[in-house]
Amino acid sequence: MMKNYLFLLLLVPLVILIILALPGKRSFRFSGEAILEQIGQNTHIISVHKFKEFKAGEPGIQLVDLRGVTEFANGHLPEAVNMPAESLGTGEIYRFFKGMESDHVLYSGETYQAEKYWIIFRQMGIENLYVLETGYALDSLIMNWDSESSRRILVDEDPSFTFQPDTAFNY
Amino acid sequence: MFSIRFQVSAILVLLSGLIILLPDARQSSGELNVPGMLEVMNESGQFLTVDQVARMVVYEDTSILLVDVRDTEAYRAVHIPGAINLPVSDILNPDWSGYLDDPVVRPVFYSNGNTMAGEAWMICTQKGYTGSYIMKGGMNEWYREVMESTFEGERITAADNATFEVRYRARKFFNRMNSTPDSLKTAFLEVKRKKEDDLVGGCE
Repeated sequence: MMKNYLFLLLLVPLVILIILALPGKRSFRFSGEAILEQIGQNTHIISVHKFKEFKAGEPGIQLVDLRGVTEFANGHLPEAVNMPAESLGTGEIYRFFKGMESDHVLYSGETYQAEKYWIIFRQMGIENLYVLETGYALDSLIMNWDSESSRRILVDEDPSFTFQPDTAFNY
Repeated sequence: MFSIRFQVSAILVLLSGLIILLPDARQSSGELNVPGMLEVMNESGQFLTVDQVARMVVYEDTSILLVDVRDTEAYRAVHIPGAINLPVSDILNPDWSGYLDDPVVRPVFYSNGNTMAGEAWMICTQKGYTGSYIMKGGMNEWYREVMESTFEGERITAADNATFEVRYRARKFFNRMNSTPDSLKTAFLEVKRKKEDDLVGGCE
C-alpha cells in the first residue's frame, strides 16, 4: 500500500514537468517557405504615402514603434505605441497583439530592422501586419511627418550607384 | 528483480531529465523556435562592415562565401568579386543548402540595402543555418565607402593607410572583374546539396 502512494507521488510531478517542458507557443506557426512566399508578393512594406491613405480609410490603424523606451520618449511618429523589441518575450508578443482586430504598422530606426520583426511576428501567426518604409533618417521623418517632403524617402533597396565598365581594360 | 513500478518511474525520471536538458532555443528538427530567434536577432555579431568584406575579398579569405540575394539581372550587371547569386525567393531551394549550411564556410548576404539581405538572414537562421552574416549597408554602402571614398587630411595614420590600401585594391579588382563580359563574370552555379545523412528530421 505504501509503495502505491510513493509511486503516485513520483508520477504526478513528473507528468506535470514533462507537459510544462513540451514546446507550445514557442514554435512557429508558419514555416520559412510560407513566409518567403508572402515576402515575394511584396505587399508588406508600405510607403508613408500609402500609410496615410490607409489611415484615411481606416482610422483604427496602429503604428508600433519597435525602438527602445528612451528613443521612443525622445520623439516618435504621431499616435504610435511603443513595443521595445530588444526585451520582448514570446508571451509579451502574443499578449500585445491579442484581441486586436485593426491593422498594425511596424517601424523602427531603419526599414530592415522593422522587417525582421515582421517576419518573426508573421511566423508566430499574427495577422494584419505591415512595415513602414522609413528609409535611413527616421528623425527627419518624425519632424516632417505632416509636410510633403515626407513622401520622398530613400527606399532601402533602391540602388544609389551606377557602374561604369572600364573600357580600357583588355581581357 | 525490480518491481514494475520502479522500472516505470526510473524511465520517467530519465525522460523528464532529457526533456529539461534539451536545448531551449531549437526545435527537434534543428530549426530555431521563437525564443531562440528573438535571442539571436538581438546579437550584433550578424553584421560585417563593407571594409571587413573588402579585406576578405582582397586577401581571398576562404572562410566566407559572398551571397548576392538580388535578382539575376542586378547580379549580372554588377556584383562583388567571388559572390554567388541566390535570389531571396530561391534561398530555401535544397539545391543550394550545401552553400548556406557549411560548417566551415560562412555565408555573407548582401543586397542593395539591408532589407533583402536581412530577409535571407532571417529565413536561413530560422532554418538552422546559423553562423551567416549580413554585409551592413549592402551595395549602396560598398559604393560609398569602398568605391568612392577618398582620404582627406594632412597626415594619414597607419590604420587609415591600411584601410585605404585595401579599398583601392578592392576597387581595382571590382572594376576589372565587372568590366569583363557576362559570360566570364557569371559562372554556372553548381548544385550543392547538404549531405543526406547530415539532415535532421526529414518528412514533416
